[in-house]
Amino acid sequence: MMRPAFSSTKQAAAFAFLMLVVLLSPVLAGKKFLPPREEVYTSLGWNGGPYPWIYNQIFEETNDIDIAFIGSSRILHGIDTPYVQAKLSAELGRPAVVRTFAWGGPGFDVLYFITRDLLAHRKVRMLVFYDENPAGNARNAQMPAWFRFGEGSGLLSGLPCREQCIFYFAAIIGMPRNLLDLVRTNLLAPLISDPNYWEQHYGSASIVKFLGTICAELGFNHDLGVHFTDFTPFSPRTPVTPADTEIYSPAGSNDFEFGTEPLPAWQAHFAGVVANLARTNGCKMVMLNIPVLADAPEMVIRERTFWPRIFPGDFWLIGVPPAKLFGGLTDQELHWLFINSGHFNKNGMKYFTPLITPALLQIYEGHD
Amino acid sequence: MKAMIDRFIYALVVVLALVALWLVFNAPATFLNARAVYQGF
Repeated sequence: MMRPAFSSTKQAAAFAFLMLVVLLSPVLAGKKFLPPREEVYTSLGWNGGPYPWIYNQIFEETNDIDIAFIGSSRILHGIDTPYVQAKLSAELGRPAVVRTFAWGGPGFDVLYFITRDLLAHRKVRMLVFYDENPAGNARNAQMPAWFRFGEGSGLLSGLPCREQCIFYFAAIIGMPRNLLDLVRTNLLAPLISDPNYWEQHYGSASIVKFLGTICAELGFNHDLGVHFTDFTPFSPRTPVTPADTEIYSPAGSNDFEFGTEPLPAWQAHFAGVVANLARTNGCKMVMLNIPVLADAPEMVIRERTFWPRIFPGDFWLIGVPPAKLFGGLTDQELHWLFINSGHFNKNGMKYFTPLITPALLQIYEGHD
Repeated sequence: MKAMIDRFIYALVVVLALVALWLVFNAPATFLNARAVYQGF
């Protein structure tokens, strides 16, 4: 005969009580029993993203930011932030402040949480982001850190119940860490020390020196592991110029093409709350089309959905038709611009950034 | 009365276990990767 699961009703009651406490822990903790928001960043360290840099920029630096590039890995690898800062400084005749806040693992939900923390602490004039499109609708592994139920469950209203349960479950998973952070604070990871994960793995100079960006001096990696080929310094000579960067306008003719498939509910929801957040904080929003290797032959700038409907108001969509951007490059030369199928290396970043910078400066200056 | 309470408690255990299991299986696999979720713990 099988042994009963509980030796007495008291034991079953104790188990039920434990389960109730665990399942209700995000509600029971409320906001009162959550550690300060900065503990989320210090708990993550360098591994899931360059969070010590992001922490430093959100919670320690205080001056206004002219342009913040914000988003997941394609922003992290795609923007030569010091270059944009130098160009904007020259244009404005004063030292401009341009920063990149970027991490690993796409999703408009993470974009929302980090943007919310950023805008709560620093004035940002212009946010530049991209389509946070996780392959296979995957979720950012750090969501149990980002989403804390007690900070306002109203954020989830409008999401389907099943989606709300995913976030609630993330809050349960994150609760032990939150309670631990409440009783003792995390040690700060040194901002500049031995090469951190990102600098080591991607062969980049200091993320701090690059103002939040990775400048990967690595060749193409075919298997997404650690097998990078040798870096070949390469500056493409193509006919493309900054004038080929297009700013979407419903009136003008341009090469944008929008998909008609609806976005997954959680992505549309969080893109919408990011839009609200930017609007209430008076930020201009620029969505940047950052091409991947497979886009190279495309004559049009393909977007998943008609973004101006989700981001009404001070919103611009910019990009370069990939066939113009990569026109005339051999397959070998094309691979010299990327570390893998989705991310630029130093060559790609240094090639792409000067092409889109004049359009960014035009938007920054032109519509105050 | 005691039998009723016993039945209630066991029913509660079953319901809570089902809720927990549903939450687990409804969640994306990435949330269950303790190394990713709790890195640097």
